Amino acid sequence: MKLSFAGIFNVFAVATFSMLISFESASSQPLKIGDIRDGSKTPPLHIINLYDSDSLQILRNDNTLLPFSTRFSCGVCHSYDIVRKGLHFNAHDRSIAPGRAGEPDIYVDWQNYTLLPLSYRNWTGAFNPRGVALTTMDYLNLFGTHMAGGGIGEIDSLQSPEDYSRWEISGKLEINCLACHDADPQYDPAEYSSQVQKQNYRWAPSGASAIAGVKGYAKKMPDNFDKYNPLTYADIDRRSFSPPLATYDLSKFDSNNKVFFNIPRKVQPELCYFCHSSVYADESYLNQWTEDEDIHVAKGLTCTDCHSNGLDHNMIRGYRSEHAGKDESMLGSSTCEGCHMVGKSNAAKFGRLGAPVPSHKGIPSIHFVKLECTVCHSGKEPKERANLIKTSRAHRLGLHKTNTEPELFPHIQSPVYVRNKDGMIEPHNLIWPSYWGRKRGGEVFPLGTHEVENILAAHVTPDTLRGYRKWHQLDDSTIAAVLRSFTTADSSGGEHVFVTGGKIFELDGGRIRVTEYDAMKSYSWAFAHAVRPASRSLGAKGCGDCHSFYSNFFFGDVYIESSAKSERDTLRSMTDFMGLNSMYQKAFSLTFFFRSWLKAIMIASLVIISLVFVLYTSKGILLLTARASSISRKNAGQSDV
Amino acid sequence: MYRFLSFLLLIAAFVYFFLSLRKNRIGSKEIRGMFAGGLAKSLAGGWTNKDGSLYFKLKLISYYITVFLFLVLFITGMFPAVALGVRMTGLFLMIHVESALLFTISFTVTLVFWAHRHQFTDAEMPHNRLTTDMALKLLFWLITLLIIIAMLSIILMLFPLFGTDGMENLVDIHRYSVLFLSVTVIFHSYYLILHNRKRSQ
Repeated sequence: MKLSFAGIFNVFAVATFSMLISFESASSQPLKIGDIRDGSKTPPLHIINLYDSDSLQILRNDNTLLPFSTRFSCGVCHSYDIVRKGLHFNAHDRSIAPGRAGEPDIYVDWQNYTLLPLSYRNWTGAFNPRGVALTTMDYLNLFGTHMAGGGIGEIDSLQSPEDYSRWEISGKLEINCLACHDADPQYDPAEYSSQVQKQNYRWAPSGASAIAGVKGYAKKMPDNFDKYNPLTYADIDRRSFSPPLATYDLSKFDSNNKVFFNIPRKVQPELCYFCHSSVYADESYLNQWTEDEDIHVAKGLTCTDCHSNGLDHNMIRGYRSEHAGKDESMLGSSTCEGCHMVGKSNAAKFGRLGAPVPSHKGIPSIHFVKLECTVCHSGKEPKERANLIKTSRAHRLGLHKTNTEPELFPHIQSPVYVRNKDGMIEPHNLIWPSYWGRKRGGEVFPLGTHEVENILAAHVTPDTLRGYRKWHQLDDSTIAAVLRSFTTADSSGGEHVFVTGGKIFELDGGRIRVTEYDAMKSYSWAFAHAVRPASRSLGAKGCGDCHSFYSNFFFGDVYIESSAKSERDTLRSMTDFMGLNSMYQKAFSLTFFFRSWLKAIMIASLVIISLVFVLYTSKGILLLTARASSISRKNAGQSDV
Repeated sequence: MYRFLSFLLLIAAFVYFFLSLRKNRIGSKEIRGMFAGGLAKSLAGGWTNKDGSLYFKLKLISYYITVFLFLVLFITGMFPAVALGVRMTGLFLMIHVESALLFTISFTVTLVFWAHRHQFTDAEMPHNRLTTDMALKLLFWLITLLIIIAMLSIILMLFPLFGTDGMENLVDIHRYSVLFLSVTVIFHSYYLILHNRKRSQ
């Protein structure tokens, strides 16, 4: 067969085209103009057209009814379908490894004595919201105020059919790109949360932005509300609530119907803080000026210098084992060790951004085998009893009219030093789950609120219970009565239990039997911020910071928050959570009491030993040289004297 | 590396020790007799013996206490590091540290009492071959030197003078000096047995 040049070229062209096609289909979403860097370090100016959720352009002179959609507005230049797989939006995706257990969404229903750590991620100890009969809309109603959108807020297949009409009105809660990227001082994350609380999902990013204002309540609209024709609502009922409506600030539009968004290259830490703030409910609670900033931020770094990501928005969380099995140098360099320690990982670029390499003078290396860096450098110093801490997500910090009570439920204790899966000790935030459950095959499944409230109301008076200060408690006889009522009401004949304070309460022949059960332990998650400087770290004042007889690090108390009166005011030592023996640690700490004596005795002994050694070995050397001298003189035929 | 070297050197030293004893036809019963007698003499008989001076009593007692504490240090130090291949922590560490404090005191006393006996004399040197006495003296001072190194490395660690890497180096110095110390002690024990036998004959 004879091949011409043109023939070969054609075959090559077809093959190349086929490869391109297959590459395109393999990477499910083609890259767009904003996804590919041109190399310039000047951030591109974002003067863009706005599109609504029907992908229709929003024009300055139109009487536009719908808010802008981030999916279609930002999605013109950025691949929304790639971004939506990122860390902040992929919790529901079971094909993605859950990673180290993080802060859950904490479901608090104190009137039903219920406190549950919830997460769509498969974290040990956290419950899947589906398991406690929460639909995605229920979940957004509870926790959507501090979610960046996407994920369960926009995936049809995750939505419950019974919420269909509500989703039609609220619209999808698309990824709120502005939540992280909009540096406009008029961007209001609290307003975004407010819109989410009103179920104005479609309107939430617009309402928070400086471009538009949103009024109305999707939550209060009837099921047949028509978003395209909100005025029809006037015919239905307009006595108390108005339909959701976006009103654009027309001055923001230029003559080409474009608007400006202030999108810098780096995400501003203040935007991260809306969802990732925490405050200790101690004497400093109301005194923000007494609190030091994280040392990294104080030195000029931003959150994304370490918690960075590419287009996939698969943000680096920054814990030690996150990069196990991966060779991406940014992952390796984004842990404390990877950035600050020389040559600990081949992949790590230590010393990035001027990270100092600590010498850790006087600290034996065993500490680096047994303790994570965060033990000494993160959070507040341990106290006699673990502090209560409030977090943005658990206590809805930053919202309009948020509850500022320092001891608001849920009670999160911090720092609690816990041994992690790698066998290392690290500081955690800790909660004690409490719930009524159904026991099946050794496992306990929490009951949904709708299953609990009516039965419980027959035994206790929920109206008298407050949502702050001391967690409410029941006596054993009431617990027994409630459990009996559950059993009576349950036609399936399941065995009912009450889990609280790390113990399981169940009926045993009419009486309450209390047992400890591993799976019912506290739920805790590691934290790393705020990072304290070396001079404020544990150990900076000497070994006694931890190795003393009353050290808060080892012997500080953790309060066991239980809903059972019989278990009230129980404390456990930190050593229990570290898996250490308290008596041994006391004995070991005692050795440090005599440490100065040890030093003095050893130095004195060494001086004496050295003197004796020098004295006698010198004498031996003198004899040796004298004898050598005498031998050489003899050999030379001279007298020895 | 340290673990391998420790196995190698300690096993070689013990093999040499037992083969040499066998070559000299010294049995375990004889050794037990030598040391058990000495221990009893020092700890019980020593105090009740009206002829024995306080100096003599202290000299013997300090020696046996030092040997006992050395064995404790050897076991608590070598067992986790060599036998188990782990870092010395927990109870082992605590016993090791407390014993080390007592050992430094007892060794200082022992050295003061026994140094004069181990001084080199003009009559001993030079000989064409190494006598038992000379070997004992050389090993005694070598043990002292290695103990000085081991102690100094630990004392330096008790002060915030060195960083993590520096402290790791000090730990290595301590471990290796103690390894060579252990080997030296095995040889010293061999020559001491030879010396005691010679004296009893």
